[in-house]
Amino acid sequence: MKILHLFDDLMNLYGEYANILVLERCLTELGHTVELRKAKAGEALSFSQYDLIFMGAGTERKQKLALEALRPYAGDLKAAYEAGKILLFTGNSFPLLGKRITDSNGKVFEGLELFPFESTEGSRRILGDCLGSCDLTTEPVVGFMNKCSKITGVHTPLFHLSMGFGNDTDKGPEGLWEKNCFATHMTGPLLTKNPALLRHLLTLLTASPVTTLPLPHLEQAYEVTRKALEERKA
Amino acid sequence: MRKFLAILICRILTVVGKLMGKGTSLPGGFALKVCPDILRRIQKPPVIIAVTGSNGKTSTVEMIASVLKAGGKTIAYNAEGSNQIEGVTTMILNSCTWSGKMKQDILLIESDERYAKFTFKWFHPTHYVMTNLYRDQLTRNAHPEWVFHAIEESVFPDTKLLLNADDPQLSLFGQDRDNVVWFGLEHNQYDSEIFHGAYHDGAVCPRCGKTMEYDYYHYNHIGKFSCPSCGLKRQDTAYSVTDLNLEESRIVINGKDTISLAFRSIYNIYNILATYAVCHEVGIPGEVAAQVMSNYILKNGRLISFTLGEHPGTFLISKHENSVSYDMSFRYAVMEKKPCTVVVIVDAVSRKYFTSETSWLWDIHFDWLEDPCVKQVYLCGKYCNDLALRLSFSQVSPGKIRVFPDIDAACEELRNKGSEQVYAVTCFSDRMKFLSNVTVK
Ligand SMILES: [Zn+2]
Repeated sequence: MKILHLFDDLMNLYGEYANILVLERCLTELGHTVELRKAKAGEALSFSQYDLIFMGAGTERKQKLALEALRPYAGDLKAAYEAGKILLFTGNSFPLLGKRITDSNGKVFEGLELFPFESTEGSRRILGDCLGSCDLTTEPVVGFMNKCSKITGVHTPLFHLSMGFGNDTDKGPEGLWEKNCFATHMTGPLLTKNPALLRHLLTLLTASPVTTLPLPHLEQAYEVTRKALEERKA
Repeated sequence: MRKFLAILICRILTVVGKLMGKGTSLPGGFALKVCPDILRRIQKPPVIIAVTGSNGKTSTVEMIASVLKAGGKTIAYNAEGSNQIEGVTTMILNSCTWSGKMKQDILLIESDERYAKFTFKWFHPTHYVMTNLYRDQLTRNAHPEWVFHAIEESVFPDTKLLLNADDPQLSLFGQDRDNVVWFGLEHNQYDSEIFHGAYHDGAVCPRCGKTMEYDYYHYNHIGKFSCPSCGLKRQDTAYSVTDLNLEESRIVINGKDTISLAFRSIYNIYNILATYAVCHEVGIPGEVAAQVMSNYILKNGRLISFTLGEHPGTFLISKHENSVSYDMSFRYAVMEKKPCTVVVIVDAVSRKYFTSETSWLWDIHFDWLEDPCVKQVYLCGKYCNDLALRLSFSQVSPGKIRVFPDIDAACEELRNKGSEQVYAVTCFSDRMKFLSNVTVK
């Protein structure tokens, strides 16, 4: 099993590296050998040999650095996506997959163009806990939003939020799900907070149903946060 | 007339607020409604010192106030930590004459990082101290670069900056600027050539984004950095801790002034150094600052001693959503080298607002607790499972770890068992949930 963690030194906010930790731990416990590569910006990249490609959240400035570092490989990334590789892009790495990003000064950055959506940054921060549903699981999803952009032009969202700000509306559709590409602004980290999503990704990766996780505290932590958010919403 | 009315309203509301036990920002808020430019209209002292940064503002301001007073200066300052424009306005209007003149020698302001731009829109500090800039309350503050840009809007050319030279992000404020005074720690025996921390916010240059190099780290990403690509580097300091001995609890500043430490934390040493620097800049001799700060016990008492059954204990106040403060507390606990139990409590993430956000736990360097002197680690409170999950990915051996949703039950078990030192590490918000179970000395 080969995993690529893109730019872990640049895109290192909100503990997102833990997405990879839990994946790696679970895969190992399931008997797989995991080969993890952490790639720095500027290193030569190719995506075809990886089963899962991940990038997390960073500052707005570092997000642009990540974009430039990925730009030469946009075609290769798109090919990996079309070949059915799993892409997990969380936080503000999500907008990189779109057509363009406009920053708060109006400066336009061409995106990697895997999808036709656009992202527009503002000077106001959008912050808050999130609760929602997801067609991949029957359990509610939980997390946190810490972003400054709105995204328009996504037709296949990953989540439907009942608490928190979606792609471009409060309590609206959030993220993007196409084939095996899962992109969301929701942090948490996503897979440490949502056992059902973790099981789903493990099932996809191992091509056999994963119903239990070797991380008992993860399930219990999820229950605590889900209850807290549902009480808050009520 | 508006000015007088604003002062009057502020003072009446302050008296009423005191009777009702309310905070100190409301009177200033009303005064600002009556007279929005009141802060410009007040005649302020010739010296205005502002202090901002992620950690240590309140402690630093408290020590600056003590040193200035000992140096014979009269001052006005926001002692109660109401550090947004409303709180600052309350303090100023309660410290001036009815005609709006401040007669003190010095105005000293603790300023919130993100809101300093609103206060200093109306007047500029003469001296602006910045202690550090790191991940703190990201559920409100977004990230340190976001905060950097917020502070940037409060920095003007006529202000002398006093900057922590060891903090790369903060050092950007002093680039291409003449009126800047740097302070920092010299190379000392506690430095590490290896980075310790769960994340490295100095891994890439804050100016050009290329990989940075470090000669050594004092803690986390604080240290002697340089960027081979753009040349950003730690600047030489006018105020330096030239000798540091934590075992003997003392530091020496600029090779001449020795200060005994009441709290042996590297953290606090920066606050002391910043205080020394700014007080010296406004004419207080180093000896006076050193004397006042020797064995200085801070009001907010970062250290509380207690007993729990046969256990002697120390309460180390940290801040939730602030990983560096946890790293510091753990580092302090293992530095004492006593066989110990460390109790970590995360029950309410904040006392001020709702959130279930726990990603900051992944930013804490729990590996400190794998030190052999730590015999047990108790993880307690509502978010004990998040803690347990996090620690299962640390170096801490699972055999050491006990998980308790119920804080009282954890304390009960400890009370009936053993006599080793206990360190309790948590936030203000969860403090009493632990302290109500112990005997505070
Ligand atoms: Zn550089």
